[in-house]
Amino acid sequence: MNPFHDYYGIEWYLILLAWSAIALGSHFYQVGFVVRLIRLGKDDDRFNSWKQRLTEFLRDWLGQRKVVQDKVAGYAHALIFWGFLLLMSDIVDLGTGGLLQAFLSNIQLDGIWNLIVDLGYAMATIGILIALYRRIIIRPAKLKGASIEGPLILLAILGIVLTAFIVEAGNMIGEETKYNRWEPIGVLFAKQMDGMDHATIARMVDISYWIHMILIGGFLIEIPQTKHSHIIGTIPNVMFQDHEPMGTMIPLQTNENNEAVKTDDLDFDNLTLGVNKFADFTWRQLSDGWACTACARCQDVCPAYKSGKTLNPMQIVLDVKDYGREHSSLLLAGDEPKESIIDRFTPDAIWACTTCYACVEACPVHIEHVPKLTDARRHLVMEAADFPEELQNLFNNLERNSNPWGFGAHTRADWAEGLDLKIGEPAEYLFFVGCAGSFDDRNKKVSRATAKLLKEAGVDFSILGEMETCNGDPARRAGNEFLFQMLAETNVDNLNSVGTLKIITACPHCFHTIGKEYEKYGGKYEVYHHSQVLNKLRQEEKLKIRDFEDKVTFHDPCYLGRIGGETEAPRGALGGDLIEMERHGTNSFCCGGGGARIWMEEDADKRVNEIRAKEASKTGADCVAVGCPFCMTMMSDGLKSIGDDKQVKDISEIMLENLEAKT
Amino acid sequence: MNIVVLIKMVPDTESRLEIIDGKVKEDRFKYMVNPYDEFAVEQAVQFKEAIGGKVTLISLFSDNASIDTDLRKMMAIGADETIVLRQQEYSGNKPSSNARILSETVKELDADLIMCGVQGIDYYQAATGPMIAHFLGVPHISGVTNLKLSGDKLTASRQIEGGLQIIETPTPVLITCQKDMTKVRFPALKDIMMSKRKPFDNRTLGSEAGNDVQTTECSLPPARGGGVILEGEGPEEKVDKLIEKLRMEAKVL
Amino acid sequence: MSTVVLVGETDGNGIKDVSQQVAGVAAGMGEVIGLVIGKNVAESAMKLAAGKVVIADDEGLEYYDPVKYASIVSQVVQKSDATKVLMGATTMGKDLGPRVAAELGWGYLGDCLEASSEGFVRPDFAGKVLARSKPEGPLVASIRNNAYPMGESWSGSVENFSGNIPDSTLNTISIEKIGKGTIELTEANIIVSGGRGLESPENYETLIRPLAATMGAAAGASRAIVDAGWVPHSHQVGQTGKTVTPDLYLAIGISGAIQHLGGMSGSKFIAAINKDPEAPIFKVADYGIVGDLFEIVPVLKTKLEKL
Repeated sequence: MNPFHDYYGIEWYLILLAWSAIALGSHFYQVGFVVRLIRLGKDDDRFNSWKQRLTEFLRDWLGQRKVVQDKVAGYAHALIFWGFLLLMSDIVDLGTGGLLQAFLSNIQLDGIWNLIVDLGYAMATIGILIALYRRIIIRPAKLKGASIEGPLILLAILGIVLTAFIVEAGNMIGEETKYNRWEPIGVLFAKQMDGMDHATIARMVDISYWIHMILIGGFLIEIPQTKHSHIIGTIPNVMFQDHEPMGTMIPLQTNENNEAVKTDDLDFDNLTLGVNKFADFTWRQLSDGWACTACARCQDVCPAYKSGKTLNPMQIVLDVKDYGREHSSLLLAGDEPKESIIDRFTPDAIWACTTCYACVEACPVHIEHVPKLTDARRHLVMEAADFPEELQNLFNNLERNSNPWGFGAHTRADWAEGLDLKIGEPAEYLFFVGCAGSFDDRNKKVSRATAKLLKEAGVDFSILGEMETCNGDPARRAGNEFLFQMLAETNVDNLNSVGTLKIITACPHCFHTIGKEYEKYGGKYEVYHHSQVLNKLRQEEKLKIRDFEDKVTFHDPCYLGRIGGETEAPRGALGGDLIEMERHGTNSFCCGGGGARIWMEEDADKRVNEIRAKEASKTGADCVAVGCPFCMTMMSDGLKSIGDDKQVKDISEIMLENLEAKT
Repeated sequence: MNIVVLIKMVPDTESRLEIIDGKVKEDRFKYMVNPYDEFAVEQAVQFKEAIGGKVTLISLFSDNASIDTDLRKMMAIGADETIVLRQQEYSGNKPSSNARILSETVKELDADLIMCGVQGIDYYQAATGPMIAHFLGVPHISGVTNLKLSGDKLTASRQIEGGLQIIETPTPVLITCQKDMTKVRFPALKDIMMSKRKPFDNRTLGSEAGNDVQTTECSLPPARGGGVILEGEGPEEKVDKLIEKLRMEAKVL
Repeated sequence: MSTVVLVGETDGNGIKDVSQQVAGVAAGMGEVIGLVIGKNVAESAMKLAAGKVVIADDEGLEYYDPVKYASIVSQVVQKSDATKVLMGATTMGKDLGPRVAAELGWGYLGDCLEASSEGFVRPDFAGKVLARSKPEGPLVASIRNNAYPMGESWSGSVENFSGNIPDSTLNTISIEKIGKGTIELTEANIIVSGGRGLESPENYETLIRPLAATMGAAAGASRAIVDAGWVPHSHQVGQTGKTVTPDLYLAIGISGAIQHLGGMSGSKFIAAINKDPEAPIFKVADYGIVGDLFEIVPVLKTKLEKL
């Protein structure tokens, strides 16, 4: 028996048609509404590299690559997702009263099709049960306070599945009961229903069919309005993911050659600096809002969130969507709501970010959280002149003395006294020392250790000396793009004048900024982190290094490991048996110094570095090895704060300690 | 209200100081706006924002180095016009001669209020302000930590030993600003860039005679024997040594 | 024999020390005519160490007014054919001196460290350079208090100022005294600063504040203890706190992280007490004591009190 008959004189397909019109009408209206909001955003030309994008789409969207990084929730979702892809065509069959099945049977494919559909429903069921178990029984901490929406939706999907099986089973029961072996689960249901009287079965089938249709229609109406929008939103998000290297910020304006326009030539009348209005975002930054599944993986890895600050990366993304919806009538009319984007994000949250990119790394659907915050910072610094006071000192110092602390620029090469280094001369490599390595006492030791190792290995290198200026990273991450551009242009001129092409640096921020961001300012160089060079020298035995004896753990710097993609070289350079912290490699937990935060105030009870220090402490290691001057400072401070007297040493220092003298 | 603010460009405090043949080598100095003058600019703009009027900046400097970027920042705080006087033989150490030149330019502007920093961080003579006041024939109040405007009267808090002297004055008057008189705003970078559209009024001048005293010789203070750790048998001895150093060598006690 | 006009200042107890010191300097340059301006200053004025003292005592001269005072000084100078005017480099002296110089058309040297008939020495570039001069023409100079011997007690004549006291539109309405013990960090000549080495907030109150009070100094703090809540943010010296340029910065239990150094490296002299000989602060301190601050600070305070 089947539900395809009339109900109180009205044919079933007329009822279905009416309901479909309502559901689909609402759905497409809502989707159209979202599309109109997203189209308010600025251009971002990602309509290129189609072959690569197609591959990525298949791998990441279809293949759920990043989703399954969380084993329990990830695979549960994958099962539901793949299951639905398999069972989706069933709606065509159910909606047409069996026409699809009839058509397929003419070409002998109906059996396979039925099996696939059943498999789909089964996979979805397993996925849902795992998900429900996780939500109701396991109750992981991150779901605390989650709304009832989650379990309700899961139960609704389960409803869709069960009603489908009942209808399927009902189809097998009639004058003659004929089990369809291509629908094994349907058969199971049929066997259970077999004993009942036919009138009851008929009613069950009818009710199930209409519940099925109502639920599906309900989903169509609900999808564009809740976090389920990700079902559609993830398609453009994954398809048009960012192809620039992670962590690269873009200049205010670029010309046809994709180079940054010089500050003097900027067209200020037509240039918005940063983001404060909804339409200041690019369309791709806006579509993030509707791709978000509220999975909270970004929240879980965010150092600002973990340290109790008001920043929650997931909230930022959802804020974009919520703001758009709440102010939609004004925005679509081209007017500005009184509340700005920055009001919604809140300045506290905007300044709390360390730009560690853990959120972006964790996101299964390629949402780009950090640029929303750095764009807001650009507005606050360059348009509104409303930013933390400490940054005023930072900017002034960078501008006047080309280093963040305001030390005399002429003392920059003092750390190299007595080392007999080439200064300002051409050489095979240029050792870009960086500001901390030049002026901070603790980090001067690292510069000396690095220089000594390079000399020992016979590497031909020189330093820029007084000509070196800060690479500009703190200015750029803090939103002062003018200052960054000025520093970048000066450095590029100096680097080019010395004929540099290969650069070594002991600071991951220099490594990132000069290596990946200077290209747009005319500076294309091969940049190596000192751990990469030292590792190579060690492997080639140009440096003979003993394995260290202490218990050592390595703290991966964000800008080297996760953002820079280099986690092997530091370990190779250190050698020996490292004790790994739980969060290491590309999952490393930020020291809290990036994003210019090392120059900003932090409340005593909200210290990122103390969290990481505790993690390092737990390893029982005697020494924490670092590869970045910010990490050096933050880890040392953090350990001291928690009362641990562990040593913090740079890779180069540990290597130097264990250097075997040349015979 | 017509306000004139005088700005001095001074060498950056972190510049390397080298003395050759008894003269300070100035050719590698980087220059910046005298921090005390920034307070004057900010306060002047605040008054303009409160009661309307015009703020004109005047700076006297030599003709070799570029000071445009720094002056632009001051403009971007909210000034209307900038007059830059360029003099080939300019020296920051000639208060009398500089005061004469500046007051000539100020006289053209019919100012109600003239403001500048209490002293320059190059020579710390604190002389140019009061001298200009005399040449203009107006009273002056120096070392002001707080300045209020009500109607056409100003109330100034002048810093004195152990306290403040509160003085009321009508305009015209010259005020020299002490540290922390007000909080200097960081001008929007966009405004700084856009202020390039308002060109400065650049004028070249000849030298001006004055009665300034010439410095005959510069020298570095005796080396501090940098970073000496005071040894001793116990706390008593170490402390004795410290007090002796502080009294006799450093002369700070 | 040249004549020097010495402008003396009074305080509650008579003549200010610095004026007596300048009087000693003046005596080495010629015949000294002292000048004291104010209200009810006759008794104090007679203590000024000068051969002759002119007293300008008037109701309208109670508070310093550059217009009135400069005019009086000029008149006395012109009447006496003096070729030099000297005064202490006080807030009044540094204000009055330049105006007098402009009125007389003379050269001016402010805040001199050394002054004698051999010449004058001024500090340039915040004291990083010493500038010598030997002015030949007439001169006005304000002179810093220093270890000069004070002048001999007055032993000459007294005269009342007979010239004209001009009107002035400046009107002093009050004097506000700032209570002792709350010296503003950015204006202090001496700062005593504490850091994490103090180990607990109580120790800041029992060690740093009393020592600062004894030295007439402002009390400062490193970021570490401000963050820990031991003292308010207004005490913080360093990158994200205040930048200070005192004559003496005494760092107690402060390691000297780069952010802190950025705030106080402009100090004229730096002294440090810390138990860690490797502490970075010792690299910038002129004088350092490696030791237990809990022993050293009380000893230091006691000895300073006895000075």
